[in-house]
Amino acid sequence: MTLNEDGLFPLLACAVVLSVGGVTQAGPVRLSLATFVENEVAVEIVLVQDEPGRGRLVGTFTPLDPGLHLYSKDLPTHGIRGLGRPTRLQVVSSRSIKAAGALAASRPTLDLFIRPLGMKLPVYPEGPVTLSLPVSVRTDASTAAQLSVTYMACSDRICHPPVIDKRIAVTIPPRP
Amino acid sequence: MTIGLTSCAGLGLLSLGGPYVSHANARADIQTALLEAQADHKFVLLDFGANWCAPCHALRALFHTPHAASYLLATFHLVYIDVGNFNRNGDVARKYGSATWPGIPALIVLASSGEVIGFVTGKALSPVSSGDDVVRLLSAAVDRTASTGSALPRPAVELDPAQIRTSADTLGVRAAGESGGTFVFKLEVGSDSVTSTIVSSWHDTLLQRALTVYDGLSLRPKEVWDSTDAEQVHLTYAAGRVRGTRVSPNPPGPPDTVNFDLATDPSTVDRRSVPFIVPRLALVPGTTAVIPIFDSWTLRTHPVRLVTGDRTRLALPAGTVDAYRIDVTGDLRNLPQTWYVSADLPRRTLRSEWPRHTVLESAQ
Repeated sequence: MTLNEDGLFPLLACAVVLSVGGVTQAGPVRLSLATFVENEVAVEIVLVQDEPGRGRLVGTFTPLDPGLHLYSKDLPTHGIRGLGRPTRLQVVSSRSIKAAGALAASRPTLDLFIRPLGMKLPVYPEGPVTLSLPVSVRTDASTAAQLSVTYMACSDRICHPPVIDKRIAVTIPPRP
Repeated sequence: MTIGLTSCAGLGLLSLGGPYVSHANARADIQTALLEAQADHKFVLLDFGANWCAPCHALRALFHTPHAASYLLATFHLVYIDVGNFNRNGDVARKYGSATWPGIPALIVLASSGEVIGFVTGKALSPVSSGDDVVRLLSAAVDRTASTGSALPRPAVELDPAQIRTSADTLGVRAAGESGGTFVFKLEVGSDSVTSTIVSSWHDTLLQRALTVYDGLSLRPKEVWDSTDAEQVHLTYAAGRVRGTRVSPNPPGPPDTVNFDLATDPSTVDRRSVPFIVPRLALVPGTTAVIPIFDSWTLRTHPVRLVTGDRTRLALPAGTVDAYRIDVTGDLRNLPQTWYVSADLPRRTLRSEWPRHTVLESAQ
């Protein structure tokens, strides 16, 4: 048991709130896998099963403050010349879902010009961006999966701490 | 890495490697800069950042504009402190008020004595777009006669005078469903001052003991003592400044001691004033008050919103009572909170919901 930052009360909760369940509609099955807020960005990850055996892992990244942007998914892992960090959603390990295509973004990037350095960085416009990863889905049994997200929110005046390869354990229930 | 700003090349402006050196000894660099500052009567400017941080590069470029460069050279010894991926020099950042919260770059101004006298971080950097802006902000930080507003004390928020009376509230504490704590808030009204005491414990362990002395007329805090296992603090509020000392553990080394003398709005109240203010608000449903609250963790003042809700029914272990709900939100670490105070007089704190499933509740 640890104490919270004020030294007032025991801290028992973990930082990530995982919610599993919620099959809510006919047609594509939408399964909420995880939601959390970290370093000024709200993240929701959903598994959308379009048809048996095929689906999409969909991550929505919403910066909490206006003026904050997220960097392109195509940025190198360590940024361009060291600057910036990519926005990514990956399947690390799973017996039930496997990546079956390239990660796609809901919005095109724009070039953020870093005048002092004379260079451009591709960022998503202010507001939420949704990344979608085609996946193959095994539906016969409930299995565990480990996902990974990476992102960093910056404005033109401040960068919040990056979230690098944050591992998220989820359970994919069998499709009824 | 400490730099005397003797040349632009020394700042590594166009080197994307940048000035934030991973293997530098930040504590030693700060000590060196303080010694140099004592010798030449300058200040020390701590620049927390990272070479991957574009805004850090952008700010550094402004340092090199002619006006800013000459001002910085004449006024400061500059120490660049690499935060890595926020996994480096965290102890140094914590010592100087969680300097890297909520992000980087973050500038901290020290007097040559080591006293913290200014912050330029977060939203304060938003209007900085020129070297002149840099000079203006840092000039304000080193002006130790300055305050950020009127020198006339005034209440931070409208309180109900009838509620300023000697009283005590004892609340049970549950954390993540587990009971075992108590939170005791006492108020003593004297002839020219009001004193509040917070004592919180978990089972048999004392977690916090805080004492705040308020001016009896303005009800603004004058002096605060607080002791937890995370920090020991002594603060004084006067003339638009907050001065004090914070001692915090830094295992396995000796505790970190930091002194500070910071400009703040005269209406600023202390973080520990929330349990004093909320039950004593002039409760008008639908009203919102915004008060500046100084946090000794971050050594910064944060706007905090108090929103008074409608009269409602609240279920307590002893029965259901009428209460007012007050939502407290802002950038303090233990917010948001939801408070319920009794509609009946004398007013009492009935329940307070804190982050991480922590609930304070009256047993009566």
